[in-house]
Amino acid sequence: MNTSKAKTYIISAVSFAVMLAVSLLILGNLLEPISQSFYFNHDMQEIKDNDENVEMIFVGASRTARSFIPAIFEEEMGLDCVINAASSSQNIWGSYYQLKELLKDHHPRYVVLGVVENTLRSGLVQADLIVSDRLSGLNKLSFYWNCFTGTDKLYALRAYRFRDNLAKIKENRQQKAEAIARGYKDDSSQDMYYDDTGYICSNRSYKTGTIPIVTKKGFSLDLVRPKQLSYLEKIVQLCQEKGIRLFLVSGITTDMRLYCIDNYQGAVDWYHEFAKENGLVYHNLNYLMDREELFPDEMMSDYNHLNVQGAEIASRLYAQVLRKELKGENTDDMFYKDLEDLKKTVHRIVAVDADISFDPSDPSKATAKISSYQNEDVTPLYQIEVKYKDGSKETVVPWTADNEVSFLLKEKKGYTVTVRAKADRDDYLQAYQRYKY
Amino acid sequence: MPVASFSFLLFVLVLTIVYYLIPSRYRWIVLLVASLLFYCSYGIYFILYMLFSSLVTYFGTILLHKTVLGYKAILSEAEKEKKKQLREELKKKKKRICFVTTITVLGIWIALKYANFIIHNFNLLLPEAKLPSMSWTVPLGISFYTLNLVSYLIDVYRNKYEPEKQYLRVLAYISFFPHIIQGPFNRYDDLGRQLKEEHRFSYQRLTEGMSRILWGYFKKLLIADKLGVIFGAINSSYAEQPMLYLLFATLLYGFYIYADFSGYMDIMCGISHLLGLKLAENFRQPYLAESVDEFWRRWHMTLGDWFKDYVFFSLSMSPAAYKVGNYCRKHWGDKAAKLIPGYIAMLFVWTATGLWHGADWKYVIWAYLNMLAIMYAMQFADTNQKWKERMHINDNSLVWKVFRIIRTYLFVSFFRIFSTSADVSAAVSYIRHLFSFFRFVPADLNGLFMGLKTSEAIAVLIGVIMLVIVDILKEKNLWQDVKVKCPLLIRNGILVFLIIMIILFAGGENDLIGGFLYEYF
Repeated sequence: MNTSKAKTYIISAVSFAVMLAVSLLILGNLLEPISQSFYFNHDMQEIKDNDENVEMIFVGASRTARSFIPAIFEEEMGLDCVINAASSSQNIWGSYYQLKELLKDHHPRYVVLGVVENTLRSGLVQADLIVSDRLSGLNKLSFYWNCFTGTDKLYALRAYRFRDNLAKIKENRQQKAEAIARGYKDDSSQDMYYDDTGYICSNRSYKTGTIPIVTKKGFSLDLVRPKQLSYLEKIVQLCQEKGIRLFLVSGITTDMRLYCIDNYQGAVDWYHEFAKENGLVYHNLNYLMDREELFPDEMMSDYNHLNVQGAEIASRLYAQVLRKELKGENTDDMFYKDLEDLKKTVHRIVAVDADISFDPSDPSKATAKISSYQNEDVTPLYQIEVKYKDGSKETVVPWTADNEVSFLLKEKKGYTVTVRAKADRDDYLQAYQRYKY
Repeated sequence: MPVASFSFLLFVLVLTIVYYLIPSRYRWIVLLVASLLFYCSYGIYFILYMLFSSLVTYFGTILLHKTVLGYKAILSEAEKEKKKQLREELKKKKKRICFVTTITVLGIWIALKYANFIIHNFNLLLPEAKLPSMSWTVPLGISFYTLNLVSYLIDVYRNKYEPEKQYLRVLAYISFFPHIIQGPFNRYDDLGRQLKEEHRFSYQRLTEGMSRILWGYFKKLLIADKLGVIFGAINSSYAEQPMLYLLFATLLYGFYIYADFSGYMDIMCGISHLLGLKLAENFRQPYLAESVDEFWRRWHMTLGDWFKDYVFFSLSMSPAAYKVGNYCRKHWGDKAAKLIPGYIAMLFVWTATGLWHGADWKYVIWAYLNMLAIMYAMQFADTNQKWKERMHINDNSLVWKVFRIIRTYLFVSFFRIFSTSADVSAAVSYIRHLFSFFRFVPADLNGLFMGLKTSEAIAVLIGVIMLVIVDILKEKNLWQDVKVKCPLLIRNGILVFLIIMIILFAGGENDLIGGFLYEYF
């Protein structure tokens, strides 16, 4: 090949590569919406620019992101700067890479890793995208290479990731401009918003008796995935190498979850055992003394997360726990021994479930086998209401202590069955579950 | 290993690098190994059928050649009177060898692909027989490689060229991965020869190949897959759809299948081009055809050529055809003598074409509709010409050309209702709904794009327009000029545009799409 031809080919290849890179960069920027990482990254940059001394970092999933207010830990523990780097559905490998990223610039004394019953089971690409927005350089490449499989690797391209936002380019630009004008504070008039150095805030409040069962997936050793476990071990090792004290914590969730998740105590025992083997401590804040009084459903924003009032209480209490641990004091007296011990303090129905079947020859005849979660000292009563397509409602089963009831339906489909439960000695609704047909 | 997947792209990248690093005399082995690996990724047991069929064909061709050589030696020394007898003997022996080999190879294909079709129809004719159906899987690409083997065998039988002495070279030709799953059909003297030649790395071939691959993926991932969503949604619930939607789906299918099939061809031809090899083209701007006959000379050309060379000419130039021709001349004149043997041969060709596409009567009916359209044009060619002269219609006028192109597309689309329906009765039901004027115009036209977002629908439209423009440029022999004279920035800009369109619009949830339509034939 002569020199001029070679030159032409090189120019052609380079110009193509440059055009592609520039186009993808511009498109990615135009398509990218505001996310909590937008605010988080700004805060992290400010902390770096101001040379703030980050002394504690939280990593984990949404229960961590929404339970722990950094400012309270700074106040209660006398720390200079605390970051909550948790994010919704963050996987354990996300926590590892997120921590690694922050440790490039910061040297905290403490790291708190939020763990829950399904931390070592699940993996969700969408969650990984939130973390990947907070990474850079080789750390980001390593994250995509190791944690994204097959065609999910395409998510490294922002244009691919946000391609559904084609119609929203103008809206995105406007929202970004408004956020910058607000000084990078998330809009606090929203239901859920970014508050401070990673903490996600919610003003919603649940009324008791209005939280349905969302999932009953439980914990077992078979479900502990090797990949997830290896990343938990990597976090332990990383902290050891950096001389950082690591704490494991499970944030507050509703009673309903504690009762309904199969083998919840098994998960708690597993984390205690893991912590013991690795010279760590693990606290499950759901087992805090007087939990029932401290965290009623009104302190929850949904079935699994605290609202701002609940987070304030949880943060102060956990800060107390950590202060005691750092002084070498025993914190066992702050917690119930186990789930059974906690359950003795719960004197209401926490959840209700029904197995509804239909007469094969006549679908308008239904039978419901109802079960509910409560202690032995509570006698449950049940009610069933049906709402039809036209909006009309009918109480097909008035309050009854029977847990196997039959009822008739006016239509064959397009209706919703609501099963409610309350204790016979109480007037207020305590649990409900809805079924759509 | 799906073609529309990252693993396939990685496979091609590694293959290309290894191919050019290896000395050229061993490159065909690299292709053979790569092709076998590719085929095995679809099911390791499938390869056994291919190996068996190719071995039978190989030995058949070697035996044919040895027989010919043997007789040549005898003939050179034989007396004049004996020579004719020896030649007759040789002819019979060759026929026998060719016949047995062909029957064996075709038999495997027919057994695997058509056994249940035959059993099902047999049970319909004789319900008391109650033959059980077979539960085996049809190997991928068997319809393609079987016909390639038969063409190789028949070419050797016809003394077109000598057979390949090395079995592995025959296997390399048959298993060559760009053509094994969906074609095109490449003759051995073309592709086999290319596999033996040296191919130097060329940057120009690299860029041309990659551009063609990209264009193929664009057609498949953006145009075909999105049109497939619309078509699938309307077709699967045709009884509830208004007439306008059914019409839309019927007309849309042509672009769907063209983008899918030709997209695959572009990918495979592009890959072959990267490796210095040229595959036969399968399409020549088919929707610019002005008659159904011309359409079939532009669509899936290599299949048409195969049936023409090995079925149509064999039948229409056989002694039996001459006898039929003479009979027709005696009773009905010269025109009948010319046409009827051809019609009989066409009947065989189109029956085979229909059944080749699938073991179902719907494909046969679809094929016969095409055949009848061609026969009609042949039969009434003179009448049509007189009618045009009377109406002062100029064959070369643009309006007349456009009319014929649209008319051809409408016919082809209508015939395809049979091939795209679940079965014959579903096709008839679809046609009834199409012409029932039931809810001619729907209340809400937004449903026409069946769940595609507005941006996706616009992207598909842009894709289809690009496809049409490229085809028009090719038809006017301007495409090569445009490619050569196009400024670098614009050329690169178009390639970047194609990549970005694929990134933005390809795939459903998180993935590139799976299969191609012609994989199932």
